[in-house]
Amino acid sequence: MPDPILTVDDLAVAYDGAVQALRGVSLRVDTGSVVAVLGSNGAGKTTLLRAISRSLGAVGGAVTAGTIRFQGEDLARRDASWVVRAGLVQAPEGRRIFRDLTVEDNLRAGGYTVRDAVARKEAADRVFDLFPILAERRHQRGGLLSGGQQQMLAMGRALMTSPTLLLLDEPSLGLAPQLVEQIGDIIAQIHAQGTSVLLIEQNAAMGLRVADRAYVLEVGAVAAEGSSAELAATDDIRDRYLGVSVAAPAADAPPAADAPAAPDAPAPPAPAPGAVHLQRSSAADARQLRVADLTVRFGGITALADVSFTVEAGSIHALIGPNGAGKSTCINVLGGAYRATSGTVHYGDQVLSTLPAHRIADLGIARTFQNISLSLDASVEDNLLVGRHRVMRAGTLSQALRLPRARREERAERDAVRRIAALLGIERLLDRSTHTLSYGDRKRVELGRALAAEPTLLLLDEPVAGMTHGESTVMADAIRAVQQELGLSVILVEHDMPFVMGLAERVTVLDFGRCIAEGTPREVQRDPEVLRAYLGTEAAA
Amino acid sequence: MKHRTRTVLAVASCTLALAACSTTDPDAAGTDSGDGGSDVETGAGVTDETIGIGMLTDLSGPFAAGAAVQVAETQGYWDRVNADGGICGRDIELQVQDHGYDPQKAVSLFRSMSSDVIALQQVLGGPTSAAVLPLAQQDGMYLGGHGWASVALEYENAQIPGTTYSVESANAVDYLVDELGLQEGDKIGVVYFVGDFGSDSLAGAQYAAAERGLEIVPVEITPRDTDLSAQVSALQEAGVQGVILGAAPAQLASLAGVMGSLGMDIPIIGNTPTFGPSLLETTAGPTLLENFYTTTSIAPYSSDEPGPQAAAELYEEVAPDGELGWEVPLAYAQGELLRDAIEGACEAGTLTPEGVVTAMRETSDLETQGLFATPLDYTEVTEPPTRTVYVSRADADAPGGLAVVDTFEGPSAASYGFE
Amino acid sequence: MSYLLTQLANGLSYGLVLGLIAVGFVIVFTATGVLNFAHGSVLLAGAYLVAVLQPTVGFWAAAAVGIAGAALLGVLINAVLVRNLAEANPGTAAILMLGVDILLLTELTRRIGNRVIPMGAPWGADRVEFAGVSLPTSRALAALVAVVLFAALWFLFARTRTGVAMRAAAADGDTASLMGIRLSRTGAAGWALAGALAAIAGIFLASFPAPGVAPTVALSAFAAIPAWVLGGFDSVVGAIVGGLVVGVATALAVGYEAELHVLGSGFGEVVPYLVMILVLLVRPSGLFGSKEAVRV
Repeated sequence: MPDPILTVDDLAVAYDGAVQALRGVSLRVDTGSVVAVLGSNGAGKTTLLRAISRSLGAVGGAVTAGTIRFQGEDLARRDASWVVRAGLVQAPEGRRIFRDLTVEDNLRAGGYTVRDAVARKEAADRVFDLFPILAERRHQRGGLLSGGQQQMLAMGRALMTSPTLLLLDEPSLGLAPQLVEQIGDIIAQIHAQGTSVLLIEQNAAMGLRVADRAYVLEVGAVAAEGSSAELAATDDIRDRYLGVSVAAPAADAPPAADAPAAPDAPAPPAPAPGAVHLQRSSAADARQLRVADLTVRFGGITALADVSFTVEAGSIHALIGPNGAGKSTCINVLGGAYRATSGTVHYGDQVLSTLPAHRIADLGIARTFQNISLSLDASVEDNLLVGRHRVMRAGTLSQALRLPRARREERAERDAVRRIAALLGIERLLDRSTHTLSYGDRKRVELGRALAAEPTLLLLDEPVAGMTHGESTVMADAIRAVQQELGLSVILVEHDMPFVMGLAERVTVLDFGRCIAEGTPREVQRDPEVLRAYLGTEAAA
Repeated sequence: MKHRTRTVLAVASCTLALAACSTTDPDAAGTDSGDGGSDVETGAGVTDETIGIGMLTDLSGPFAAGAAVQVAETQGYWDRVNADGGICGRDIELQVQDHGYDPQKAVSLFRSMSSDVIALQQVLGGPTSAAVLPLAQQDGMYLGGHGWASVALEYENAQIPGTTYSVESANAVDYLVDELGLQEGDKIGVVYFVGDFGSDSLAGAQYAAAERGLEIVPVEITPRDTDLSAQVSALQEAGVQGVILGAAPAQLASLAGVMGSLGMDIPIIGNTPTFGPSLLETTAGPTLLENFYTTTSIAPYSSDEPGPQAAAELYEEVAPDGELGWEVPLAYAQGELLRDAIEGACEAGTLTPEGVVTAMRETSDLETQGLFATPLDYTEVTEPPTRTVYVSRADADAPGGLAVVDTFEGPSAASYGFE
Repeated sequence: MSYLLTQLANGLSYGLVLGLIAVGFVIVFTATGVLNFAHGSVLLAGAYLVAVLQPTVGFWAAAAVGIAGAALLGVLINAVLVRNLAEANPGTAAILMLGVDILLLTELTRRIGNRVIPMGAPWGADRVEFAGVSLPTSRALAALVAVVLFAALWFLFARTRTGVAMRAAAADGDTASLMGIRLSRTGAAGWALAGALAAIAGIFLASFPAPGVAPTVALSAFAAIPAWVLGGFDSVVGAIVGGLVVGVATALAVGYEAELHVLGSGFGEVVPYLVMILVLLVRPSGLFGSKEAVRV
């Protein structure tokens, strides 16, 4: 048995001295192996990585018990800088590249601890070998790279110190299926060059494909461990993390799209949607949304070119496509954040494309963001109440004076917020401060806030990014339930194909700012153009 | 109304005489000013043994250094008065408080102090004294040492030590025409701080220029402007033949330095607060020695009149290493003026704050042995006590850096009207 | 014409010095997230050290001590106050800096008094002439030194390991620390750099045509605040350009005050703020400030 490069023994971590994020976690990474950690959102995966890389302090966490040893050295008294110098580097969740720095400077920042200029140069050459696209774009600002390139940069940056152990936090997050595959190959390649890897992945299929061993983390404790093959064969793991359609997602198993994963999934943690009743405080109906010849340019770059599609009132419509295809740009125009260069957007008989954002909100259009934008210091309940602002009636004055009417309304609002929270399975989190929540839970809170505004059209930007298959199933159920109860239209941008195919009635596929296909999920999945541009070989196989 | 005419320096010179040769019985001086002390009406700040007087000054703010000079001189002055038997049979107790150039703080210090003092010898600073003046007016309390801004002429209780900034500047214009050869139609630059000080200075200069047929080029600055390159270039472009400065030493140094380096060989005349002796060591030194004049109410430190000499001798005794400047004779003169008013109140039998104000306002011809250019007349509230100024020049050899050239009262200064 | 050129040259040189101060604001802000309202008193402390030391040790040695002293003072403020007390909340830190500023300024004012302490720079009140424009030597030198320093800053940030680390830490401190970059080091480096630049600016601001070190020199840091803001809070280039814009606009407004008299006297005083407001109206995040340019 090879020596462990990393051992974690009975580790416990708490946030703000109270919220227990990890309890009694033990794991080991053998020298020269790839270990994956799977688990739902909020299971403590990122916390575990931060504990190992000694960066818990920045987010208010602290190790309360247990030991972490790297190459036999106890890390208890070591800081983040020491750990990096010792050869243990973490590539953080969400890529977190330095957007204003060039690709080259990003890499140089990564190689900060390498004092020898020659060694730095060699490391950079290795990174450029591994990621030729980075060499090509070495003088561009990091922020201008596509999502997949940014992930490569984040990994390349971490490799600049030639680490012996690389920690990767959700490297496939928010990436198109084709790119996920590529990232998996790269991890294998890094491993082949002699670096041990500890990998956190929500995409369990990819995680199990590249890892030798895996651990499943649930509510802060290890629920299962074993070799990747063993775990992949476990029913429970298959159900919760792999999903029934993952192994054969598209072309050869199209029925998966028509028969959503939901019925096969285990009982979702959220209460059954039917038990929760949402009611509009005013009668408002969804209307037809017509996008005609929409073009958006930023400086010389055309982000969208002559895109047209129609979303029928009360339907669910998905926008898919590779990273950088213009999906979020499209959502941003619909929500009023960006201006269309040309073309029109009609919502019913209103022309949206010329309205400012707040007027668009008044029409009953609400959205969530790809990069979550919540008030981190406020409680979940307060974040949701903010969403109610549009439908609250009592004026500021009567609220300030706490007149009976205002008090009545506040009670009613809190009830409404509670119903929404119950629907999304975040009722237990209502009193938590938002910054203590995991990424996936924040996503749910953001969706809740958008729903709180009682929209007639809901714009969702990657609603299940970073969620396990089981979680995204619950999310799909919740969105479908809301959509049916409130009769609203939904436009969603998402890379999770089973999710999209199970939920959407129609799909528009964008590539390089152009509409390359449109139709039902089944039609789109068969489109060779879509397979080439987006779904990749695995789907085509 | 009884107008008193007296020579206030009597006691002080007597004291000097005492120190010098001891020919007079020391007790004589004490009883001289102490008679009738037992049956006077008394008020705030007066007990059977002591008379409290106050000084609200700036020991931690921008004027701390000059304020320290004045505190030292004032303390020495009253120690000497007390050694000579005090006033009205009582010792003078000087209470010094630091307002740090903060009007809020000055007001609260005044509130806490006003019941313990008969008069305020000084509230240093424009904004601070502007805040305290109306309150002191309500309390009928004498308030001195607040500078030379014309606004003080609205207050019966305000004692102006000499004349106003406006009259200083009107005299400056007259002096430029009568003594320094400016002609009708010439232009004079006035570089000034906006506010009670600089704007008053500008008003005097503008009046005098209109009277004498000259043109004023006003340039507004703030205490923050310590590089006056652009302003000087503008003045040069305008073709001015002289500059009047209503600002502070830092601005004078920059003004003179830039003018010198541009070869602008024209006179600069400053109001009282513009000069400090340390300026002569800066790059502006040569230009100042060549072209700088100042029109002041108070005699400069180096004046050889008996009043300023007495002030200088006292200062060398109490603060042998202190900084020299016009603050020394000013503090001494403030002491003299207040002592005269308290003595007058004592004589009138009303040793109260109101009594002190009344005594000041009954003084019509106060001889100050050269501390001021002429005797002072405080009987008209809306008139400055004099309109004559000392004209001095920068002088590297003179202690305090200024040497008297002349006393001067020009026609415009004499006719300048206060609203 | 030569009058205009003279005013322009004055404005450019003053603007470059303002740029040195504004860059200090930017560096401290990006390195530690602090709005450093104590910058003015650090500047004054540096200039004061030079002025009091130069009669005994000579100008150049005094300048070295003053620059190092101001850098050290910045590092101390960061180490003692910013890192320990205020890291969590930028608002608290800004108020704290105001407090530090008042303390330092009071003490320096007490020491300086109403004296004007000459800087004793060897170039004195000399002037240089070129193309019909006459400029004080100290001003021409200030412009030259500022340009050299800006070039050095560019080299530092673009080419050196430390500089790249500082930029990375400024962009995303949490992630930078995962690269082994010590935020305490980059923070201290930022404060030291800002302090040194402030002291250099202070030396020139207190040299001819200014008379010497007086407490008002500290206020010139406030004149650099509009430059900092209009350049965008976090951009070094923006701070330099902002300094030039403010410097030139102020010099022209003062130089042509007579012609601009319809706008009221003392117009030069408000010009920096007017320019700042105009720029912010058109570009709310300043000329070079980073926007939330989110890529899809």
